[in-house]
This record gives sequence, structure tokens and C-alpha cells, in this order.
Amino acid sequence: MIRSALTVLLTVGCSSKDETTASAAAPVSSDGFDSGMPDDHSDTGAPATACPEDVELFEERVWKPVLSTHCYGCHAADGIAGTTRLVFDASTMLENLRATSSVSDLLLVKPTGLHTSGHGGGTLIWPETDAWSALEFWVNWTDGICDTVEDACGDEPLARRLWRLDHDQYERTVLDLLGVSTDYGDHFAADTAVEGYRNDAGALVISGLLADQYRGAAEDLASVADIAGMLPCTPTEGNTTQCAAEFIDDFGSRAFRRPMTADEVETYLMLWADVAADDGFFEGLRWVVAGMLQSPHFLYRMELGLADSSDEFRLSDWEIASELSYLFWGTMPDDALFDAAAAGMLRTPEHIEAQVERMMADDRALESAAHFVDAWLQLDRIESIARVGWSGELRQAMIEQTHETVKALARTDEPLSELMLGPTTYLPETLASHYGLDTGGWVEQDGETYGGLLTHGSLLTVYALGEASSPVHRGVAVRERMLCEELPPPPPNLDTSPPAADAGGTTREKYEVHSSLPECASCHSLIDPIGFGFEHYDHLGRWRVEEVGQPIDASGNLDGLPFIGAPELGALLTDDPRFRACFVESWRRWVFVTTPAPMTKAMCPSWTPCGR
Amino acid sequence: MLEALTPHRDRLLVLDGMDFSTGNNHEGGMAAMLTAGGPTSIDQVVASHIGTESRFASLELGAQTSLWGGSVQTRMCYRDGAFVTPDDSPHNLFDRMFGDVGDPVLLARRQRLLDINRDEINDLRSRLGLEERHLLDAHLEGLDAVERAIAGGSSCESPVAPAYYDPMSNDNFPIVTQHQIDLTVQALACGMTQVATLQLSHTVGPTVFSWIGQTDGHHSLSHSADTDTANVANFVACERWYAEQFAYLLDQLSSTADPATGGTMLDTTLVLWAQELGDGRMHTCESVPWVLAGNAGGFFRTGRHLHLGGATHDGVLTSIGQAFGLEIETFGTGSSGPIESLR
Repeated sequence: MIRSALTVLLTVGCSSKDETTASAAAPVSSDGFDSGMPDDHSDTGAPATACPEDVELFEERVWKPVLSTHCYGCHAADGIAGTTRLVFDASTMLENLRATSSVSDLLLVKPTGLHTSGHGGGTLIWPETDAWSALEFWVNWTDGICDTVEDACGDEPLARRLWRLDHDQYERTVLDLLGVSTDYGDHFAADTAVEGYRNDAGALVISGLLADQYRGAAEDLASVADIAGMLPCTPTEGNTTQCAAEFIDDFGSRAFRRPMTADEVETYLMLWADVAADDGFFEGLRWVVAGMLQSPHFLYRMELGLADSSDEFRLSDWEIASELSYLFWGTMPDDALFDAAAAGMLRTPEHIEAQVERMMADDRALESAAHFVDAWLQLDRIESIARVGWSGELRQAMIEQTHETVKALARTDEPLSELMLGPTTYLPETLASHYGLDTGGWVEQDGETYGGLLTHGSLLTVYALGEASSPVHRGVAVRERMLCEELPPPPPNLDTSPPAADAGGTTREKYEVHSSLPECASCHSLIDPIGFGFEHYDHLGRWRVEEVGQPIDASGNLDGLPFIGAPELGALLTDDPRFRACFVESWRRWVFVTTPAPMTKAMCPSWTPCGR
Repeated sequence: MLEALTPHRDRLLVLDGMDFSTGNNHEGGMAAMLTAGGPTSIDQVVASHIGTESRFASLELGAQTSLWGGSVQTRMCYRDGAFVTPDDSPHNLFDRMFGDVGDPVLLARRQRLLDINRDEINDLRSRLGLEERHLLDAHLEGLDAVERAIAGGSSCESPVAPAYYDPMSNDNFPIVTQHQIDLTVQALACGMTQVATLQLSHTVGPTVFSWIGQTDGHHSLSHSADTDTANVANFVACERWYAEQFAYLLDQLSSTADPATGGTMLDTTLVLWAQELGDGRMHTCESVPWVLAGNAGGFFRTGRHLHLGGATHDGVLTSIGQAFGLEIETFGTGSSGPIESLR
């Protein structure tokens, strides 16, 4: 799984074919940037010359791999999208080429779900895929960029931006900066969840409430931090100002993740001097630390770059160091990264790869992998659930199983299939006895009852009801989090009551009513056949062979592929390109903290939009 | 369902037959409940009108609203289209209200840091494009609120701080609720704020009312079929518990003197108990039951059970705005105008 992470970084990271500017950092554009300099718009507007109508190129590069497979089915004259602006006719390739040219502004944004009004056929094409690159190539071609060189690396500059640390990054950064372990993140104002992720760059704002919480945390941290231990000098009579300045420069450069400017040192030195005059050397430094921990230079990661031409910026060496450390470790750069940045040794793909190799061998990278799985599958909800028979010990044990298993797989660089199917897992004693086993620890599961992520206690328990399994919750989790196919909520004016709990029958029998009513079936046929496959596990993930005297029926169906039980579903998912694309997209989404595309809401015909 | 409110019946306006002017379903209902489709919720509109001189323009309190992060499911207060996030921690709120305020040296140092951080933000802001500036603009606004909050004191003695417990733990929901109600009343009585909202859980609520013997979450129970009499009864028990909490809030307001008038806090306060769905099982926002309590200094004629006959909730929100002196004739995207029968 980490290998795919590395691939994402290097794919997105390589930015230019030009040797002299090759850099691991994506260039950032000046869009919207008020530089105060006169703008030169000579490179914008309509192309001076159009590219030739190269039918053969179109057919080989775009039609065959993408349009004929993803688009033609609906966008044929007699297809469901036959009345839209894009209609193909397989017999005349030139007409097809011209059809795309007339809608080139929509060609990439529609099937990728980027268009504000969505795409009737849902999101079909994902970032970082060959299909995406092919469409991008063709849009460029129709826009007059006649470049036929295949380039896996998108070289679209990204916008300059600030990313506020998310709450988890805040905790980890404080730990590395001050050596103080905290749980502030659990108590800070919760950030907005975008597609389930609480680290969306656009949503990471600092409200009055959060600003006040940062203030309180900064003051508390400054009072408990070992400032004497962090001093680069020994304060003696006569050199206190010099020593304070050295601390400010030294600590500030770590807190701000780049060298302090002389003006910044001066500002904080004046603060120190005023406090120190009343309350002494160390109290002065405590207020310096409290100030820096509330500074935008600490709270935000910067992607501002340095101007290297009239309209492009390149990430600074220091910004690249932070990109790498937050990408792989979720925390600030260590000394080796800072040193590499200072030496200009983060500017080539070789430099970056060497750092990544080093970083991947560090436990912090493994922690990040485990943290990603929590965010991806929303397993962190386990902290607040209530279940009959639940306990804090059981919760900890279930978290530990998933974290330790993921970390072990990441440590040895195992493929994604091991996560989904691997029989080896860690069962803490509490969890082992919960499952009726004699001993815990690292165990080999049989792959029929248990085996793979789908049978982890954390997943099975989070997606359950208080005292019963939930085929719906489990089916939705697979559909939305593992296939990236978002389901709409039930429409209004539909009685969604399941049958009475005491109505008798198995859970499966009770839920099968969903697929018998047409108004329910349009969505539940996408959910329940997956969820039924988990029926061997109760609301606490325990294996059961019968329910209310009936043998368990764990037969399920994944979009036409029958299976029996969660391990078989795991195998089907592992082979499903949607799952693999979704995993990579989820990881991309999590580390790059942006939402490229609103997920389709058009899967269920009976869905009615609601709200504002 | 409302028996717990009996002692306050003369102060109540129980509303029936009120439809939302816009919004349906869990998400739409939450979004529209206090906004009626506009960018700013009624509490924030009122706060902008009457809260400008207060230490806190408004206070947003919560009980386990944020376990799923902020989203249209979990938020009800909006300002200019952005969520106003509630504080789910009574301990944090206590510190904000009664923490070490009043020490002039401490205040001067905090002010100094605010000034330094503001300069840093403004410098960064000048280097960014328009699109990126909104983050820093929001940050600057946040610092303004902090500045006001740390500078202002309290006209009250500090009560005893609540002992620590985990405010996120399901079983602590009742104690969180009680402490947040206590702090709400203290903030109002001590003149720290004029406007407060308290949100208990959120739509699709996972809260398991274990303290009254429940084993399934509120949302699951809300989808019980009529034939499932046991779980219908369980759901009613949960709703009764909510009514008891509302009664506790009214108890506190009616037993706390309002130093400004010599009466009780309830005499001069308007309390709205709102929810986001009418028939939860059908996910509709029709016939949504709300309760108003207190009469806002005589503005509303209380002690009645009103059948609004399909009047829309933007009208109720308009009337509430007018009760606080807002010169509005409509609210949100609605057009019904104020509801005269409330008066």
C-alpha cells in the first residue's frame, strides 16, 4: 500500500521535462496572485494556431482507450445521453473528433465529476489514471497545444495556498517541536468533514473558537515545555539578550519550519525583553514560545513558492521539506530534512527519492499508514459508539488490531491484496478472548471465518447497530468508502422503517424487504447484497453460525459477482479496478487534502436532491 | 411527551402544523432549520443586532455534536454560509467564561501576542491572491473575537468548575447537557452574551440513551415501525428525556434573577426548542413540532397550543427576529412574513 503512496508522490511531484528546472515540487501558478507587477497576458486567450485534425492520433490515443469504452455507450445517437451536446457515431471517426472539439471545455470536467452540475453518468474517470491523462492530452490538443509526447506527469501548476495543520498534525508537530505529548486534537473545535475527511485544505479555517483554543494550548504548552533544555546557549549575566536571540532564531526556525528573518527575530526579541524585564529570562522565552505557537507561520503549512519567472512559482526548499514530512509522517521535518533543505538537496527526483526511502523506514510513516486507514474507513468513529457488551478495553483492542496489522504490512511494503486478504493479524488478548480464542498475539487466521481487513473487529463493530448487525451500514461502507461510489440519503416521503425487531426471522430476512419494494430497491439493491455477506458477524464482530435458530446465510453479490462471506468479498474487491482506484484516490485525497470532484449523486434514480 | 414542561405551561407556545419553507430530509432539515434557506441563521442574525456590545457576540454550545466532524448533518448555526462550530466541551467553555480574566499584566501580554500574530497574518495576506485570502480573513475575524473575549470580565463570581470527564463519551451525554445548560444560563445572567444556542447531538443521531436503559441509537429507534411497539416506546422515552432537559433549562431561567429588571431571566428571554424533522421516519420537514418559551418581554402571547395549519417556519423565524427589534418582514428565502397568531 505504501508503494502506491510513493507512486502518487512521484507522479504528482515530477513537474517538468526541462532538466534545469526538474524538481520534486509541483510548480504553483500565480492565478489570483496580486504581485503588484504588470501582468503579461500574451500567453492567454485563444491559441495562435490550431492543432491539425489528426484522426489517427485521436483514434489511438483517445477514442479507443477512453471514449469508446467509457463514453460511447451513453453518448451514442440512440443512447441515454443521445440528446446532450456530445453524440458519437462509431462509423465516422472524423465526426467523432469534431464532436469532442466542440465540447472540449467539458470533455475533462464532465466525466471526472468536476462540473458543478455533475455528470449524468456519474464519475467515471479519476485523477492519476491513464484515462484522465488521455482526456487531458486531447483537451490540450483541441486548445492548440500540439504536444504528442506522452507525459505521465501532469504539469498543470497548482494554486499557491496555505494549509492549516489538521488537529492530528498539530499534536504530532507539538510532540516533535516541544517533546510534549498532548490530546488537544480531541478537544479543539471539530473541523468540517469533506467526503468524510477532516483535513480538507479549504475547510481548515481558524474560527474565533479555535483561535481561542490555540491560544489556551499555546500558553499551556509554553508553561510545560523544557525551554532550558532547548536553549542553544547558556544564559549568563551580560549575554541574556544574545542568548535569547539565539533561542528565538533556533526555536523559531523549527516552529516556522524555515529560517527566521531578521525582522522576525527582532519582533520576538522585543517581546522577550519586555516580559523578561519584569519576570525574568525564562518567562520572557515562555511568552515567545506562546506567541510562536499561535503564529500563522506555525499554524499553516505554506505553499507560496518563490517566483522564478513572470507567472510561475516554485516551492522553496523549506516548503518541499514540509511537503515531505507532512505527506509521509504527518508532522514537521526532522533535522535531516532541514539539513537537506538548507543544503539545496531537495531539488531533484533523486534527492527526493533518497529522502523518501529514509522516511519510509521510520515508524512515523507506519503510524501515518494506520492513521490513513482510520480516516479512509472512518474507523475513528469507534471512539464514540455505544454497543451492548461494549467496553473501553475492547475498543482499544480493536483499534490495536487494525493499527498493528496495517503497520506490519506497511513495514514490509506488502501489496494491497495483503491488507484485504492476508491471514496474519494481531489480536490483543482482550480481543482474542472476545472471539473465544485461548491466546492472542500475532495469529494466522483461516481465511474462511476471519482473514483480511473486512473481518477486523473495528470495521464490523463501527458498522453495526447497538445490538444487531447491520447489512445496510456495512454495505454502504463498502460502496462509499471502498468503491468511492457515494449513495444518496433516502428520499423524503418514503417510509424507511425496517420491520419490527420482534417480528421474528433473521436479520437478513428482515432486511430483504428492502429489495422487495421498488422504491427502496433502487438504492438498496446496491447496498444490501454486499452487506448480507457480513452476516456471520454480530454487532461486536463475533462469528456466529446461526441466528434465531436459523443457519446464517452469508451469500452476497457484488454488482453481479456472487460470493459467500466477507473473505470472498475481500477477494472480489481486491480484483476490482474500482476498488484499487478508490484506494489510491482515497489516499491521494487524504494526503493532498483537496477535493477534486464532487462524487456522483446520480446512482439512484429515485433520489431527490434536498436542502439548500 | 411534554409533561415535563407542565410547571411552565403558562410560558409556552407549543407549535403544531408548521412546515419548513424549504429543506427536507436530515441534511436539508438541519440546514434550513434556523436559516430558512438563507446564508445566516436566526441566532447569528439576532446576535449581530443585539450582541455587538457583549463579550461574546453569541455562544454556541453543544453536546456531542462533532464526533463525525463538521457537516451539514452536524451543524445548525451559519454565518454567511459558513458553519458556526459549537463548543462541545463544558470544561473549555468554563475556561472561556471564567478563566483567568482580569489580570492586567496577563491581558497586556495576550494582547501583545495578538498584535504580533495579526501583523504576521496581514503580511502574509498581502503576499497572497484573492482566492487564498479568505482563510486569513476568517483568522483575523477569529482573533477579533478572542480579543473581545479575553478583555471582558464577568459581573458574576466564578462558580466551581465542572470536574473533568470525557465529554465525547456516550454515557456522559446527560452530564454534558446539564453543564452546558448551567453555563448557558450563567452566561446570559452574567451579561457575557445575549444570544446562546445549545445543540444536543445531531441529525442521524447515534446517541444511545443508555442512562434510561436504551441499547439502540436515537436514529435507529426513530425508524421503528408502528407495529414495533417496544421500540416506539423506547423512542418516546428518549424524546421525553429531551423534554426534561428543556424543562431543566426553563427551571434554571425562571429561578435566576435578571439583575437588569428585577424579574427572572425567563421573563425577558425567548427560548426556542427546534428540531429538524417532522416525521423522522419519512424524512419530511412537514408538521415540525417546535416549542417557544418565555415571551421576550411580552412580545408573544404564551400559554397556548397553536395549530399553525401549514404556515411555514420562515414566518416563525421572522417573528422571532422582530421580537428582538430586527426590522425584517421575511427571513431566509421564505416569503410568508411574520406569524401574527403568535402575538
